[in-house]
Amino acid sequence: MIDPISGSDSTSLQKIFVGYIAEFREDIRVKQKTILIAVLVTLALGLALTPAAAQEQTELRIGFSFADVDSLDPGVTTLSGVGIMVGHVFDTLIYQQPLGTYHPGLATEWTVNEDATEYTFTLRDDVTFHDGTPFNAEAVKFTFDRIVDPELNSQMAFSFLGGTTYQETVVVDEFTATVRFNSPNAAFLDSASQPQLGIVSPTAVEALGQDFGIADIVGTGPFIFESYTPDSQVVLVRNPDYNWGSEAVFGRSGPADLERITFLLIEEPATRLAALESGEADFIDDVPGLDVARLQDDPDFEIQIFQQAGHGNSLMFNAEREPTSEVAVRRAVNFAIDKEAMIDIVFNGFGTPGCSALTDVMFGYDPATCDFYSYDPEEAGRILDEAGWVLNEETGIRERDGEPLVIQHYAPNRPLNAAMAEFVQEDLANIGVEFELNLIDFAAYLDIVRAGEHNTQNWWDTQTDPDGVMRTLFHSSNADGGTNRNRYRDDEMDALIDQALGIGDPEERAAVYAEIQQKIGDEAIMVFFNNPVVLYASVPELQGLTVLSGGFQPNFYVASFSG
Amino acid sequence: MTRFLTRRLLQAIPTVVLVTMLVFLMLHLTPGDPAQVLLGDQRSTPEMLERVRADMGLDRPLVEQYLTYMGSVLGGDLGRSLITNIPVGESILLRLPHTIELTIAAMLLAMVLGIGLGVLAALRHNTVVDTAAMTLALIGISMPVYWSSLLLIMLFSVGLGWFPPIGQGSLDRLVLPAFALALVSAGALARLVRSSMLEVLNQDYIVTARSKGLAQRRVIAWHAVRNALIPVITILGLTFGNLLGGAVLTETIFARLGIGAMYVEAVLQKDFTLVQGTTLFIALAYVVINITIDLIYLVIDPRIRYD
Repeated sequence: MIDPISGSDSTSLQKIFVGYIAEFREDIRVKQKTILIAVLVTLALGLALTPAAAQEQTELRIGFSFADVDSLDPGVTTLSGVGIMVGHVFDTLIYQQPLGTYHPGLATEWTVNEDATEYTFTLRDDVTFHDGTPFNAEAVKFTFDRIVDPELNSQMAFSFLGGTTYQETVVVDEFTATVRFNSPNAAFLDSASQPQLGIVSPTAVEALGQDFGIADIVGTGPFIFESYTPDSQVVLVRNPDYNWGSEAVFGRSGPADLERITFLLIEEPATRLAALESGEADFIDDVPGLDVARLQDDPDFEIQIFQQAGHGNSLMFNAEREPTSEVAVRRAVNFAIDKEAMIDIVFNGFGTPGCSALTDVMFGYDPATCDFYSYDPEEAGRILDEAGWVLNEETGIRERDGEPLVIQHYAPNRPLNAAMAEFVQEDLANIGVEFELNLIDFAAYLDIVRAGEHNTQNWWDTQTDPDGVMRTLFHSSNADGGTNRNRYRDDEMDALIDQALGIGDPEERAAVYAEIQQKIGDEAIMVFFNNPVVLYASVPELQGLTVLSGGFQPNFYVASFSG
Repeated sequence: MTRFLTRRLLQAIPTVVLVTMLVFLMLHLTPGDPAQVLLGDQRSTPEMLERVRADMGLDRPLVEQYLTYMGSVLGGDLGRSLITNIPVGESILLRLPHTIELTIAAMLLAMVLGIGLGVLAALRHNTVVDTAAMTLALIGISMPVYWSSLLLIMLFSVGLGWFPPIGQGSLDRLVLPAFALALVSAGALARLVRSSMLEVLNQDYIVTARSKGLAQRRVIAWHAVRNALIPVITILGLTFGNLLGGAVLTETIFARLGIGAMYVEAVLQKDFTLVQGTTLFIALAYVVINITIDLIYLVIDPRIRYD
């Protein structure tokens, strides 16, 4: 064929291209046939690729919201979501269920000395790691000593282990280990039950070097690590030799029923939900609150609701920056926020109004904190009037000495942060306070709040011991760019927090935490929005879910599919 | 031809180097610090932060950091991610096939839909068919990718159960994301092809071809469409860029492994090495695609000569 423009022969590529176009222009019957065939082929492919319903399902697929993985090494990760996954691969010395009650794990017995500086664990003698390494006191020492080694750069496990107060682990005999601290650490039983302090195989760590946590992880748990595809999935398979489960927590000790657990890393909530509804996942975490009612009415799905331990959603005031350095302003804000309405609007009706830095299921929670602040905008106005902040009728904003009352709020730009901030903005506008929103990216946000250039920011936490929550938020040692972005410094508060950590007797310890909570309320250091819930959804056939860590850590060791 | 290729490849070197420098500067000049992101909301002391920064090499002067980085890149080592410690080359290679698969599928779909609708609309100019085709194109262009993605999932995964909503590795998992991604480009292509076709159909050589008695189908296929496609080829390079941008959203929503989703996450986490490595890679990909498009001109329009 000669091209009329160039006069040259057409090439083969042209033939394909033009031939395709010509085909498109074929008469209508051929086109219909083609479309019909295309549809049939697509359908057939879809059917062929859909897994046939198994007789008895032994693979659990979890749509998992914590899609970020920094490392699967329990000693290295800074993400609590990783703890949920690796909690199946590593066993802990002891287990905690419910909060404050401890049960044997890798340790059969334990003793604590009077000032909580020495913990002696009697270990099981019948445990082996997935790589065949025998479990013993040396492995416990190896695990803990490694965490405090600066080379590892451990953050989360390091703070669970008491940070710099960790002194040493002594191998008393092959199956007895003593953990020593420089100063009292009454929170260590709680810590020892966290997956971040799960015991790792010394041989595997030494063999893998910096690939431990990426290429492989080796523990003693009911599941063995099979593969990790970043941003995609983590696959675990059953440990057939497992025979040392914590009976008191799980009701059994032998191998799991499930042969395989796949954590599908799906960050997008709508997609996670679609994965469940289309049968791609059997279980999802962090169910979007708006969809819960719909799923509850659907017999194909089951919703499970747990009260969350730790610390709910809250507002931190920077005590070192005007105007939030003023107790009157902080108190007024506390009175101005309608928490009931916030729960309805922002949290889709789930949870209860917050009163304290500890959620209401925590050990040490003081219900008397609920008497501090009720929703009372008039009282808020009165407090501000008294402090000299007078309403400028023109702008609607209060002023003092010509300075308007403006609070600079910083938060990472995420939907929940935006929803909370907008709600607070409206309530504060009612009392003549301007709440300026700065919703920015996470890295930039950290720059600003660590430097203390904010007035307010949000907080949320899932720790299970009150010491962690209080120290994180109110101890002056964390006030310089650390997590105490209240930048609250008070010698008396530091002394109380340190004192509580050194009391072995739970009742006495709780009394000190009550004192701390009263002090927080008196000085209106923060606003506590809610006692949140944790929402899970699954297919109804999934049985035997265990939820550890105050609702936050779903565990599937004894899970199975029925019917 | 060889000279042309050599020249184009040499020209690409300063482009790629400039891109890496710009990205390096932008990353370091915008607020945020990977060490802080890594520590996040963990309990941490300023000393800890300093230690992490030193580990990442962030305590050294910018120029030194850049030169060290480029040095190791020339040695074939893209380094390890600051946040996950996974080798950057490995991270890219793991995701690359899935992004290529998605982009090519979307590109093909966009071409089929776009050229098909465009040609159809031009041939049935000012009829109901034309209006319907252009309305479809407008819908395609106007629907944000994340919205159409969710609608497709609702309809075909949750509703009809035809295709799985997430993941990669099989054809049925490619259909929805490729379709969602193709819609915008298909709409744009359809409009371009239509106007280009209309212009070509009024050219003298079409009249000549018709008057010399060529069959209508032959006139359209051999003379009109082929010439109408020349401007279309030009925007295919741009379309590739659009698709890569759209892949960021589709990869996130369909929970697909992919370069796009990884790239955005890396930027947000200030993961310098991962961003740099990926940028380098994408810059190279653009160079290759642009050269390829130059070569396609040769085929499609023999008037063009590069020597």
